[in-house]
Amino acid sequence: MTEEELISGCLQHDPAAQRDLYLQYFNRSMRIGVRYSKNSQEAKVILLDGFKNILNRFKNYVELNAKREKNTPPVSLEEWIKNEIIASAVQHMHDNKKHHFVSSTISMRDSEKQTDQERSDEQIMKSCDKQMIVKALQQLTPSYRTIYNLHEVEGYSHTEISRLLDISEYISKDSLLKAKFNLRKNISRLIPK
Amino acid sequence: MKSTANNSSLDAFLKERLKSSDENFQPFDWSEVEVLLKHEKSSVPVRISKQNILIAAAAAGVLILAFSIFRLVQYYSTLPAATEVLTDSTQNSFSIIDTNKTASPDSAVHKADFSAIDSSAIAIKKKKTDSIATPEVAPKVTQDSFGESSVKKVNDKEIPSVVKTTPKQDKKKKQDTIQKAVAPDTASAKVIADTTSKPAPKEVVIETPSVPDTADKKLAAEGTGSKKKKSKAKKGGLPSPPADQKTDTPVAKPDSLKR
Repeated sequence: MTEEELISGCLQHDPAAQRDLYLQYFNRSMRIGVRYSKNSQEAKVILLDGFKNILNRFKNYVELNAKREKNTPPVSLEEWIKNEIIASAVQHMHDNKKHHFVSSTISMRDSEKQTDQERSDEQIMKSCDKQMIVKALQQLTPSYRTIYNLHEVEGYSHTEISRLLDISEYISKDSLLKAKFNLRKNISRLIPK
Repeated sequence: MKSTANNSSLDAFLKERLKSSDENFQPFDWSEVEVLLKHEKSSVPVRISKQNILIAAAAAGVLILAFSIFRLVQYYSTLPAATEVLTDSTQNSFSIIDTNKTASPDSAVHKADFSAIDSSAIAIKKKKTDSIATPEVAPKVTQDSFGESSVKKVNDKEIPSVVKTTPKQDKKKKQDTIQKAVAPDTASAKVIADTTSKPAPKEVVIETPSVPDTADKKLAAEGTGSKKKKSKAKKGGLPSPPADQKTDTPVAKPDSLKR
């Protein structure tokens, strides 16, 4: 099925079109879900919630492109699905808020210790693979993980993050610094000596 | 600076690795998604958050409070004792007004709350006594039914409902009412007017029996001046009348003297 056929089929709630869309975008969506979750089970929940929203609100995608200004390029289906999965991950984090946003006990003075860190950075760049990085990322607190993903991978600004997560920009910046430090620490812990 | 440079390089490395799409996942069974979609269609989406629960609880609390306050107000308003006291006080106040056929100067008394009637009844009594003493108050209260009826009964005439009157007008009205009240007997009114205008006739009447006065004076003078008379009699001269008697006689009988 072509993208246009998928869109028209999903608009008419055609099960075949919906199944094709799911299978076509599953891998890309799962990669996003894994980065925002602490394990594969949570990633599955995020993904299923995301696809449920996508298939139920498929009309929004058509309206979004219809309402856009003439100068702006149209939103691709992949981009819209990606945004929906991210929104689902953020919503999942908000739903389980009491477990999230745990203040980090790591002081910033620890990050200034450069004696062993330089070596470890080089070692990280040489020896770590993607799975290791994802695992280290999943060990972060949900707030740090989300902020790190949004800023570093998706390219969101601190203003956008603060708006999306309902936090101040300062907290977003501070959380990003702590997330980076913790990620590095987790990776160095995962690398075998 | 070295560390930041290293950090930035590490960050860039991590970013690149995370963005790379070389990882494949086994897709979940489509039936799971289908079940979710069917469940979504069948169920009505209702989100019950903490805020909603709090708002609902607050609304329920406010409703209960309002209902309890309403019930309390209703209960106290329907107390028999309170109503009896109120009705007695109001009836007393109104009956006093009816019996005396006078009106309270302030019409606002009738509009006042029943709770304040006990205190206002005393004020009405005071004003009643004032109104009885000075009937000029009666025409003022023409708006009330009591005032109108009482005024009608007193004067047996309809008085136009004029509320605001100056003190001068009141005096004029007072005089008019007095005159009207006495108006049926014009003759007697004239007599009264004559009696009031003319000097008192008693003075004239008193002048005629002035003799006994002089006699009394004589008797009094006799008591004092008996020695002098005796001395004059001894001298051989006739007894001359006293100076008062000489002057009084021509005044007392002018006509007899002329004749």
